Amino acid sequence: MRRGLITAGLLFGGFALAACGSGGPNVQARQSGETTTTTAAEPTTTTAGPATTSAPATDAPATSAAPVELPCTIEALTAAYTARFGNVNGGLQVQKCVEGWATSALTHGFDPPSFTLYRAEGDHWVALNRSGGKLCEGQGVPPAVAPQIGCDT
Amino acid sequence: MRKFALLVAGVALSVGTLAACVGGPPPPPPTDPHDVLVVGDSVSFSFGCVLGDTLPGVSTNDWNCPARSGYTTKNMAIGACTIWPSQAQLYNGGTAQTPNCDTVAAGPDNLTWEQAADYYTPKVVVIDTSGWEVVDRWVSDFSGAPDARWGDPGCSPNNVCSQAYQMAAVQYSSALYDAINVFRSRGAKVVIASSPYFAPPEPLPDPNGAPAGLGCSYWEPYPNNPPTATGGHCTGNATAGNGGTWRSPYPGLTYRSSRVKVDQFNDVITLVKNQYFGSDPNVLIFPFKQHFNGPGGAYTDYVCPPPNDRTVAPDPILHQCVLPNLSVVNAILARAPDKGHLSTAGAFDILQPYIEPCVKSLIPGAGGDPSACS
Repeated sequence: MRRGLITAGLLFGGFALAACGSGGPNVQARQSGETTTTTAAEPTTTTAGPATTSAPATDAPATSAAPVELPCTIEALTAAYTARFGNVNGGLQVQKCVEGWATSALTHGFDPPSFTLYRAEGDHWVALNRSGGKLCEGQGVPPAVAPQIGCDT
Repeated sequence: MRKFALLVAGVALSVGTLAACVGGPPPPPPTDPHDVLVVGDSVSFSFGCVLGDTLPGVSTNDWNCPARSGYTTKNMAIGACTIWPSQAQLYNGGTAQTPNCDTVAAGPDNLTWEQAADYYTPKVVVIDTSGWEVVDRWVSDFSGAPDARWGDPGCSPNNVCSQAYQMAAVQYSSALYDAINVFRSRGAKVVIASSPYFAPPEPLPDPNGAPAGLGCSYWEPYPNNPPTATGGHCTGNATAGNGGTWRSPYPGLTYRSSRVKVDQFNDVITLVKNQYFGSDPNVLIFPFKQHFNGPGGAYTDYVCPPPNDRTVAPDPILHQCVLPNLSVVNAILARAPDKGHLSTAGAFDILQPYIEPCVKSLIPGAGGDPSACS
């Protein structure tokens, strides 16, 4: 295997030499087993999860909710999010609003985002569920709408 | 005979007593066996999630990743994970040391990948890094602009057209080679995910939710030319706000599209597989890119549902797919608003139908389908 690495080093070095002239680099692939002394970079340590103070889930999805055109804005969804889950801790972004259903993503540093599902009720949005997966399971999102708002089915 | 038996018993008792006094062989190191181990960055979280595991210390109300039947998974995703040694140039002007995950204990598990391999004893390992692998770095020459870079036009393993590309390609390929060997040497089968394109519309992360110094520290835009930041969290000048065009984070750095960088990155993954593990059927490249970039090979928010994700392109306006049988279905909004992570639909409705039968075939287990790996 080391032979393969040397070959790769020569491959890279050779092509570099051909492309860049005799003054080209002579970097060899790092050999297996060599170690590099490094310290963990700050970005990798930011794995704190989102707040865990979720209110009880809404059990009865309102499949009869008539599609209404509410503003598909960060302000409107933030109000709904805050009413259900408390203050937004991170950056909330609108994902999509379709026929009275909406989703947003909440990011924390370099963590994967968690998502929130909303349903239009009267003149406002209501946050139904917050999750990084299976966001829409059991929430009554119409099958035709679910994929359009980034909703797993 | 009786005397002999007594003698044997006496000797045995003595030996046993002695062994008890001095202690026997050390106990084996503790393990927590899982069939599958997922390692990588925040995008790799989706792999671990759809395979049935969340992250330690995280509420299942917020990260609902239901356990799967027939196998177990350990999700070891670490935000911003990158494996090759260097000093990374942050978009906000700061720097960060790398690697920060594979050979450095990090994350909630505080394990290196080697330690994780020993502890979780996986049968299958999924490796998925990308977004931070293509960030400009310093490796050996700190006197000027980063000396390790992806994205110089035309560069490939067969055309090493710049020293900076060569530095990046050699360093990353060596790190990937080592990582694969860590797992293969322990008998695990290794699945490396290729990288789909990403198209962040603004620098990340939002400075309001980021640790000090890391707000707006990452921006690898997709367009061919420097774009304007849109999204409302970071400006093109890496400050809180909206708008403003991409600018070089270091004097002398030119703009290079993440599309070109990702193409070059994927080429090197293929090189490592073909050159070092070409005859090893237990090292595979999972076509993550192909499942999310469609037949056109371009970034899209929407993707046609499996099994047509690779062959049918969604209408860019209506987000609908005309299938081979001429039926029309809605495309799936597959990406998160940051245009890097997957949406839950992208994870569960596009990724899971492929990666799960793939890993099941490697464990092996019921429901496995080796064709899903390729």
